[in-house]
Amino acid sequence: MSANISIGGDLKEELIPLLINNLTRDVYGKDSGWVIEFNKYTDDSYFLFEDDCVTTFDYLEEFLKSHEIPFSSATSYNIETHDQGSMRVYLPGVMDQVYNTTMDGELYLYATDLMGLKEALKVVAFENAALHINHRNRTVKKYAEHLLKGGDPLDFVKSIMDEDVPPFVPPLPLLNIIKKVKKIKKVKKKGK
Amino acid sequence: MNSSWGEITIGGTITKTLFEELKKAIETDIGSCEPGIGGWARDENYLIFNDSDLPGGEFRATEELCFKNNIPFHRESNGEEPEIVVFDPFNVLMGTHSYTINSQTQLLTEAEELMELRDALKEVSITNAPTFINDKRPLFKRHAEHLLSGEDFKGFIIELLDSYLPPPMPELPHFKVKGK
Repeated sequence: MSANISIGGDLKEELIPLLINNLTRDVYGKDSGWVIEFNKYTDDSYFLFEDDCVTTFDYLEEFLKSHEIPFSSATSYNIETHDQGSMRVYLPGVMDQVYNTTMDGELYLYATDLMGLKEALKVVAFENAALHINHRNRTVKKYAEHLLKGGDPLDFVKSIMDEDVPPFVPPLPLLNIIKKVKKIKKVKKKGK
Repeated sequence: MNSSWGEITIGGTITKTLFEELKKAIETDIGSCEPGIGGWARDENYLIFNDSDLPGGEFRATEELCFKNNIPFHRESNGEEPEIVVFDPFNVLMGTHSYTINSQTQLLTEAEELMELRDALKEVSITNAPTFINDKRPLFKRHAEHLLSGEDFKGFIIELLDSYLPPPMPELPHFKVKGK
């Protein structure tokens, strides 16, 4: 079991201590006294942190979301308990999506509803739709109802795909640390 | 290979001789085929055995016998990669199929192509299709070409879903011993 998190996007320098506090809390617990060095886990592209003992980054993710900082986190498949792995991608204003992953880290979906869509397209046509409005498979039933209401088959496919399939995983924007610009005070010269 | 839990459900009609062989195979896999011992049950319609100490969650001897003698079975296991294996020799569309499942026995399928198909269906329309015919994403290109061809979309979607999704799980024929 392991977990990792990648942080990208614009990050204000003054938020780094708070980010580290939340990460430390996830990894070692509250008031552990341990310190995680930000620079040790930062390369030219992202802040990347991975740990074999951590299962989630709840505090850190909440913190990042509250400051609209993009991240991608992943928890590996647990071979002992068979708990599925997952990946979360947060892009402010674009998506906050959780993807399920297999042991190899591949993304997967629940197949049953999509299998129902395939069956619906194969067996239901406008001419026989009335025969399927009590079908045991809810997708087949919904498709029959949709056709009887005069709905477009392609619109139905799109709506089911939209419900059951997450969007393609977009790349995380590169990390850009924004340093605080110190305002230079103008000093009035004496006598002026 | 680690030992894991597995459950096999056997269906179909078999002879008395084959039933004896089947019992021996079960004994080889789980040590006993007596009722109440070794975790087996016979429901109204099928012969069902389970055990928590199977190499890779497989009933090796039993499954081999089933394959050799065309005995339909359904095996669920939670080995390193949880799966359901269905062998239905009398179903021409099925044969043998391995379904990937999670720990809650939900059927899973790989997401990548379906995610691309979803986005292609959403973004490509008849009006903008020409701008996608050289798209590097294969399903955007295929969807655009298909829209421009004016062919029925159902055949196109069904063909893609057939290749990306597992086949429907068949119900096994009921278990019977001939002449019993």
